[in-house]
Amino acid sequence: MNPRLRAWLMRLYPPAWRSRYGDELEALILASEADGSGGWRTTIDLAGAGLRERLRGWGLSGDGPQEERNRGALLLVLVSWALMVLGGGTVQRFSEHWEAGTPVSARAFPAAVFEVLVIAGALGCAFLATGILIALPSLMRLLRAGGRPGIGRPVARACFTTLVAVTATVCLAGWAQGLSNAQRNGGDAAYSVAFLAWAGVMAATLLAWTAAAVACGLRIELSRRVMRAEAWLCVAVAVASITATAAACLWWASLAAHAPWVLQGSLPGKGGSALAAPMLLAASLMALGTVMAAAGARICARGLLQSDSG
Amino acid sequence: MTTTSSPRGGARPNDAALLIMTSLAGGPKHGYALLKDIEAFAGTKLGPGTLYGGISRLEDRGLIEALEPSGKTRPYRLTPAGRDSLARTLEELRAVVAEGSTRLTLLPGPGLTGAAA
Repeated sequence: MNPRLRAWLMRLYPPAWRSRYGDELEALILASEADGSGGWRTTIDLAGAGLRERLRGWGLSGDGPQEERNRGALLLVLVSWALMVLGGGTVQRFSEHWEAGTPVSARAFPAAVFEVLVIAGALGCAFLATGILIALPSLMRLLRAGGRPGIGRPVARACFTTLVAVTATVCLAGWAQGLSNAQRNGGDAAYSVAFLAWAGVMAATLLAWTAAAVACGLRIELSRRVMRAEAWLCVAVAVASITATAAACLWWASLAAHAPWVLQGSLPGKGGSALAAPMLLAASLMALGTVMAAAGARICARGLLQSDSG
Repeated sequence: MTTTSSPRGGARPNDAALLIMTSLAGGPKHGYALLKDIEAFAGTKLGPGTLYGGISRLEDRGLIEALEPSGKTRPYRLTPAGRDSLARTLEELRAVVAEGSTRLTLLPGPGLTGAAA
């Protein structure tokens, strides 16, 4: 095995696991290779085992105590919603002015499913905000007990990216005011590049806050009552994710059938491929987010059922 | 316990934890010796990641423990709790094997010998 590949595979394991077992595992890989047992099977095994150890570290491997699994599931749903927001934001931007290019007779269905998408997105955000709010007292207790060192760095990173995002937004908004509608929508190449960079900064900010929330979530102590409420909210977020993803895909399919030119940004009446890159990206992010949310909700639902029967 | 297909065609146990504990019941071993021993007695080739995943779980649960390292490798051995756990698991498996064998003999057709062939 290529030493660089081996080093990359080792990085898939959590640092604490690596410092305990890393040397032994590397020695075993080398010994196995010496007797001809290496190859792609070993690569897949190491990658899979590394990811399992990561999941185990987050309480998601299924072999830890139910409380840790619930906590891992909550964090999985939290991360899944970040992906949903990125995907949903992409759809939102891409769908601007879609009605103008769509024949009136074909607008009713996509308009209805788009409405469902917006409502599901708003409900998901509301569920998530409620989950964060009810966990805040536990976070305050952690901070009062001196738990700041573990979460200081990710929160500082999130604050920094927020500062960059606010600055970028102000600059971009100022620039946009001096441009025409056509220039803002692809007519000005420099503005388009700046807009993409701004979108990247916004995505980085969202991910940085998600990472900060995960760092906090790994450390706070939640009471049984709060954990139960969080589990219900996770299930609700998963339902919102599934609904939003289905609505986005139906909107996409409907436009592909009746107004494909909208998806390619070409003139009405012209044909075009339904495989628009922004929608492919958005649908992939939303599908991944939905799968993660469903996996997290399944663990939460099991925990709720067990606590009800227990 | 999960199973996997062996090169010989039948279903073989591949629960890493059980295989590791069974191997260590024969005495302390390091990673490479464990892999070779498991392959010899179970016909199952564990990957290095799977093996150390199993080792770390068993060590966390106090069922095995590490001995003094020799170079980069470290031998492991069963703890008393690990011996008890292995004995209980094997007892449960024996009950399943006995029940399965009894039911197979009651089936019309070739029976246990014919089914395994």
